[in-house]
Amino acid sequence: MTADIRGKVAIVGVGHSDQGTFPGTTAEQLSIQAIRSALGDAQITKDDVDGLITCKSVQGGNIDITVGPLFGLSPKYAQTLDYGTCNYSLHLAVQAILTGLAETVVLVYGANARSGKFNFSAAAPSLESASGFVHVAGPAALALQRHKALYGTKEEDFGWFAVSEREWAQRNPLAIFQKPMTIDDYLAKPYLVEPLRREDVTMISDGGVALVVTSAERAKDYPNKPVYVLGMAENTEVAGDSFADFLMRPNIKGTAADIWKNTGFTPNDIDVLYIQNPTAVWNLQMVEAYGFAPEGEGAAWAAEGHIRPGGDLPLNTNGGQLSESYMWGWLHMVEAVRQLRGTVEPERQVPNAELALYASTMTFLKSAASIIGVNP
Amino acid sequence: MSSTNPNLPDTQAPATAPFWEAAKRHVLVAQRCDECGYTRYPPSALCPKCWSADQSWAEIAPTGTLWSYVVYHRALDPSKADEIPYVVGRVVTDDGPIFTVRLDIAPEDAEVDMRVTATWDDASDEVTLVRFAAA
Repeated sequence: MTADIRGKVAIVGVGHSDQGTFPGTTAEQLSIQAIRSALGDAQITKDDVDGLITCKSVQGGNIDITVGPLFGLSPKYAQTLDYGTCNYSLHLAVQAILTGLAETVVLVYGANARSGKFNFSAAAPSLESASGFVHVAGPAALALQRHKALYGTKEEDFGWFAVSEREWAQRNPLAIFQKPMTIDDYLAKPYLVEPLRREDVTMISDGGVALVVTSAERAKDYPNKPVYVLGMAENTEVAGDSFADFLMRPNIKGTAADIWKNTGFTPNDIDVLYIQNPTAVWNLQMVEAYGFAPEGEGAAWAAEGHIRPGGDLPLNTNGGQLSESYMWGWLHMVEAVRQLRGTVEPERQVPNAELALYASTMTFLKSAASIIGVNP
Repeated sequence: MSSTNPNLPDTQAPATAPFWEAAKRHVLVAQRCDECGYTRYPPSALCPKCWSADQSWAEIAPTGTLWSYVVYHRALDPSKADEIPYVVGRVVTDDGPIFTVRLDIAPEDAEVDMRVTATWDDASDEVTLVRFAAA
């Protein structure tokens, strides 16, 4: 049983840098661009901030003491999370605010993995890497292949996760991949790691994203409609890969059970859904684990159109990591906040969106969820 | 079956040297806890079940079940470009340890939950890589 945190903390500012390829710009510089944008959105200055939570970049930079000197201010509270996915960062900010360690916290992520040419296939030589088992597409494709074998999952259904994200991306000026893609286009693409195609795997891009979070009491003084944190949950498998079904990530089911129990909400209450997704397998696993689709039927459910523009459960309306940008899920949260405020471009605004779930994972080792909404 | 395989592991590293020495003899081994008997791979300094630091390398069954498999169509590791496409499988051996390694099984013949047995790729004078083929 967790303490009742419902409606006590709110997101009052969101911002980001441009997304793309920015050679010569460090993760820390991109973080400051994002912070400037988020503070502008909240209409405050850095002097109003007393907490800073940075998320380490994929290359290892962007920690609090390397962002700090560019931030140019020493808030009383500063922390770094190894793998924020925005969820863990938000959860830490809620804890800091509710315990009085800080009142107004900036959360930030910055990375230049693209222009830095980060090698996602690099691994210390091991039996597995020498066997050619490299890149996140490998374990993700293993999980999908088993899902296909167990449940008869079809690629023409599974492809709808990538196709739907592209449809949303075409409505998002920030999205990097906007070229139209039909399910037939998808199926005609070559495999990367079969059964996964390139279109099922995140792009690599540079950028920064930031949020401003404060107590519900203070949130009333901000110009934007506050978006309240209504529930949060986490679960882990940090003991690692020691059982057969590890790649199916059963820990996500624990996070799902907790977030529904902690908040009293059910999947039917959610208006817009966000899933951090280095590969589309994450979408598949999480729509099932959170109960939006029956176990084994996530792909067939996606193919029914629920998650597309105009569907009854829009998923990753920003275009996700498959089509918008590679920000470890941070832009998913920004998009969720803007959807709930009702301020995105009209062509992708979900009417009357009041409640959003954001689900993310740290590879196969951790899972986290937040429910945010406009009513405290 | 052999291959030219750059980026091969260091077979002399103390933590894994016994594994590679046995592989050279085409014998599959894993660490076994002297205290509680738990069999583990990859090796670790302590038994994750009982925290005993006493362990031995023990021969394990070279047979298992194919949990899943994939086909690499792109050289995500450029040093494997001339081996594309290749098949990698996650094998749960009958004694418990899990290996994700190359399969000597054509993609059209691979099936989830099929029985498999170890084969050996003498990749270099120093390194032999375990693979799995249909049992």
